[in-house]
Amino acid sequence: MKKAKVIFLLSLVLLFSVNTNAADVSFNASIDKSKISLGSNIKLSLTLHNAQNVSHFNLPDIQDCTIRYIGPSTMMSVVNGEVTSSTTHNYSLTPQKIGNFVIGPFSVDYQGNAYQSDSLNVEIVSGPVTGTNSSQTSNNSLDLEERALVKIIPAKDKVYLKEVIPLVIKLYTRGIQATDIQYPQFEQDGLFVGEYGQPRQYSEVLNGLSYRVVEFNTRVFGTRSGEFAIGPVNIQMSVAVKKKQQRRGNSAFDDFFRGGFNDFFQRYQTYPVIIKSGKAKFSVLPLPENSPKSFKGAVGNFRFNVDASPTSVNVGDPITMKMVVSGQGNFDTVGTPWVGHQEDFKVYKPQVTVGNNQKTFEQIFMPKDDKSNQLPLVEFSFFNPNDKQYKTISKGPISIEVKPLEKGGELKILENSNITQRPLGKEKIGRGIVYIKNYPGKIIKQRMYLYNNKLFLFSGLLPLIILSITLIFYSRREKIKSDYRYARRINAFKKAKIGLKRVEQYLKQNKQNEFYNDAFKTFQEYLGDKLHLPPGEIVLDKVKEILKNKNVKKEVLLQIEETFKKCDFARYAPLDVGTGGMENTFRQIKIIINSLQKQKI
Amino acid sequence: MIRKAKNRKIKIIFLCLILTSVVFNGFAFEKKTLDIAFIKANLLYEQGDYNEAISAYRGILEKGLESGNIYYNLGNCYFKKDNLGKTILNYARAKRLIPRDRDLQANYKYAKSLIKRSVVASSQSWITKFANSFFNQFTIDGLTVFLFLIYILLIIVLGLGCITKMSRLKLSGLVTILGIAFLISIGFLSQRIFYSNKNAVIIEETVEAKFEPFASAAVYFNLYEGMEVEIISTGDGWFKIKRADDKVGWIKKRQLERI
Repeated sequence: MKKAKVIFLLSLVLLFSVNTNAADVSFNASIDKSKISLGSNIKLSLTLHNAQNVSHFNLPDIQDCTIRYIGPSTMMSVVNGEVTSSTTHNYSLTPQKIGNFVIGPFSVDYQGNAYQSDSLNVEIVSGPVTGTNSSQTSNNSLDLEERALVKIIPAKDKVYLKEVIPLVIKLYTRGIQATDIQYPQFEQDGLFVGEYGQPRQYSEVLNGLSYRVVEFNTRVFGTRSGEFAIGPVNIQMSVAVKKKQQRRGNSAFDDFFRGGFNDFFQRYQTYPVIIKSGKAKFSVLPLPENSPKSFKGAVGNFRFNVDASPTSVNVGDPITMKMVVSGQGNFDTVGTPWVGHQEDFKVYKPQVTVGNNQKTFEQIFMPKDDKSNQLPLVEFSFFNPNDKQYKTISKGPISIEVKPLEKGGELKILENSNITQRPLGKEKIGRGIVYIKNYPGKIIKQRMYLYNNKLFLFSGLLPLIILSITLIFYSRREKIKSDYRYARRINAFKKAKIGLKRVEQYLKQNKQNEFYNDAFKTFQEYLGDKLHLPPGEIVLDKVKEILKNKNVKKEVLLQIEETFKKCDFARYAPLDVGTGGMENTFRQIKIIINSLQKQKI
Repeated sequence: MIRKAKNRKIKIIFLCLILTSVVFNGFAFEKKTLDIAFIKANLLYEQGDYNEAISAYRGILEKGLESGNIYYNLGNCYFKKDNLGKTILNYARAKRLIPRDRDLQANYKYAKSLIKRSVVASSQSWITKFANSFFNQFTIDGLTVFLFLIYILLIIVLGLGCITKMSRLKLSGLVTILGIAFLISIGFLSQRIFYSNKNAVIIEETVEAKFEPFASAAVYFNLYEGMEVEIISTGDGWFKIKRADDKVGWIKKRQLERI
């Protein structure tokens, strides 16, 4: 076995003055591996906590070892508003010989103060080392055991029954990315475990290696006496692990691409892991047997105060006695203090409020008569585990003044616990009920309501229908009033109907001249109204052109043309065409009007 | 053809007339027998035979009919028998039908003052109190008609607004006011309908409301005969109820009766 001891001094150069307190500065050295094979590298990290802008140290040569400076890293973290910063300088060490090395201790000067780190042990072996980077694909769990561990640290290992002690659980991680860290869980046989406070995070050097620490704080106490073990504690978390590389083809080209792309995208994968701690021994001693009569199980170091108000009352009025237990200890075990002779009072169950390191009992006393002149004595006993003995504090008796009731008054005792209730005696004197009704009134079917009646619900629609009809009519009328063209079109059929009735009369009377004049006029007016033409423009060509554009059927157009011609002919060359001819024309006009009406021109 | 149709019309009218006369006669007949039954029950009350009077009034109710006065008189009978729970129950039922009756209001108030303990109801804002006291003057049917009238008014205003060229501001103001009144009444009506089957009265002298629906469960609070509670849900043989101060517990089904 060969030993190499390297001690050197590092000089530090400060570039800027920093806001950190020199008293908080600490220095440590750590390495990433404690056992390596010859030819491998160790990473040495020298960290100055609470220091900034520290230039890198000039390391002197170390025997049988080559040193290379890798670079600095600075870290700042804000925990609960407190800023901490540290500067780390990393070096790569390559030992040249097999054996055990002791590196350090290192010392530095920072702002005129000297700081020293621990020394570190490194073992260099000739063969391959399991669990190192060279065989990264092999064993993840072995690797994990080295990189994450849990420790339980109870403040004491011998306690009395129900004595509360702080318990610290520390999760150490190194070189892995731990996320989603859950609160610790463990078997709690014979133990009561309180709630966890806010976890603290900091770094700590353990066996020469630098760890990130998450510290959980809680309080525990034994619920029965005997030997116990705290733990094992399980902490669940997720760990980002480098993904296993699967090598299939062995061409360099394949490697390049697979390595290149996969490395970039899938380098890490998170796994849920459970870190288990060892056990911590814990013995719970029973309480001594000579307990005082007022002892109800309280364990700790307490103070006891009693106060009563009001001290001058009438018979039956409540007096509130406030008993406050404060101090350090297990408040779960603090019961109602012992109250002495209380026959002269009506006593209710005390109201309990628990505060921070304080428990308050409010007890109501109601004097039954005016003979009592003091409240009962109260005592509170507890076991102090530090002195290993019982202690009793007694208070009172507090003197009071009770005035007798005035004449005619009655003793009334109020329920103080529920102020929402008030007593009300039966006072029937002078009050009674109004006499019964002589007629049954409106008799209806049971549970028959109007809102269930379908007819009623339906009738609710009627006003809505009336409203909409009214609005439709109204808007139509308004349009007729304001829109001349629309009005003409709408009224065209009405006018034509009246005209045709007149024409029919002429037909029956066989008045050919009047018939054709009127028929043509009616027909022309109808077309004029429908197509919004001024009277002078209602000629065949114009009408045909417009109707053609409106996609009126050809037969109708032909009929229109024929009617125009017939009427013109009959009007300007009055020949006797007979009733047959007139009827024919009349029917034709009717057909044309109907078909135009149907087509909604 | 025309003649045949006319004949048919006459026949239908005739049939309708007969039917309506039968129905009305039947109803009138029934009304008369009910009146007689009611007066008989009143006589029994006057003679101090409250048990018989109760069964006579209940006989009318068992026909599937009801009236505010029947419940009122029934409440008086139970009062004479010192049965506070059933008294308040029947007055509460009467209130559903004749909420504005002065006699009823007085008796109901008096009976309620005899409950052994009362609970301070959970506080309400003044606006809810005011609205409650207004809407509680109505029966459910009354509220329905009120709602219907607002609805018709709303439609008339809308129609007039479109036709008479009322100013936009005036119209929208009126419509908003009516619309809000409509919505509020609909809210209260639906609330009344919702609670119409949920309110109940304690009919046993002292009832322990428990945390859970078992006989062995811990007692949460006490209820006294005549207290009104709201039924929240039902379990097997148990009701989950809410007291006026919003405390919720379980009691046995036979310990209360629905209003």
